Amino acid sequence: MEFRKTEEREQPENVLPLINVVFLLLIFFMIAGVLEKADLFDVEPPVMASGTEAEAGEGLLLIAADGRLAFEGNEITADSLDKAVAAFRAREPDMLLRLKADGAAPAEHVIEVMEMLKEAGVERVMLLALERRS
Amino acid sequence: MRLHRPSRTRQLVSLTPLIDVVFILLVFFMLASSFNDWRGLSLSSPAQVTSRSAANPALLVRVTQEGIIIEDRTLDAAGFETELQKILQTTPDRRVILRPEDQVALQRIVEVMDQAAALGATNVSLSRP
Repeated sequence: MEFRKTEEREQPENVLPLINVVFLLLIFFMIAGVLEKADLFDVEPPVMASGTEAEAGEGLLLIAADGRLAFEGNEITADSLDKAVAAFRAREPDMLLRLKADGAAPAEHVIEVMEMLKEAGVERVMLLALERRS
Repeated sequence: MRLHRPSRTRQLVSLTPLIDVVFILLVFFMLASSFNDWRGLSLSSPAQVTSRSAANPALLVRVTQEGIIIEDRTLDAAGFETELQKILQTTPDRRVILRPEDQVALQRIVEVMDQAAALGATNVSLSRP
């Protein structure tokens, strides 16, 4: 009995255009996107139309909507804020602290934190916000 | 005459592992990169309302959820704009102090700061009740 072997050689799909597109996408995401450290908790910053381009600062202080604080990736309490900042300020006396506060956080609490920062000796504070898209 | 043709089939480098790696890189960069446009707002430290000079008294703006209170008058957004414009025309460098009332969210304060900045107020600071 003779079996007829089906032709085993398949036409190789032309994968080169696919690779080209994927490489282009890869390069786009590598160059256009910015890799950021993930935040300790979810913070949805306020949206603003004015303001300047955010500068790179030295420290990053997070304020969550429920008032929790985190400085440079470590959760802290309001009492230990000055201690955490002081250790940082010893290295960078003229530090620019970036303040990333949730838009839903009570403004009074944010101002309270700013007052504590001022007492701790931080003179320059920058509030981060997202650009309003029209 | 018989010409010997060299066989044309060349061994293709297997592209599948390459594509795998590139796809994984692509997915990583798609998930990890962010396209947010960060804006920064240099905040002047919380103001002392009590330190007022006679030449340039600070304008205290109390921000509530619905509107704005200036000197015990409640204004809406449009009313605040005309009021602030009037004030800034006479004294362009007038100090403006924003004070959030009862549990106003930060977003609301930022909106009022936006409004003030659009009208040309340069000396805006925050204070706590």
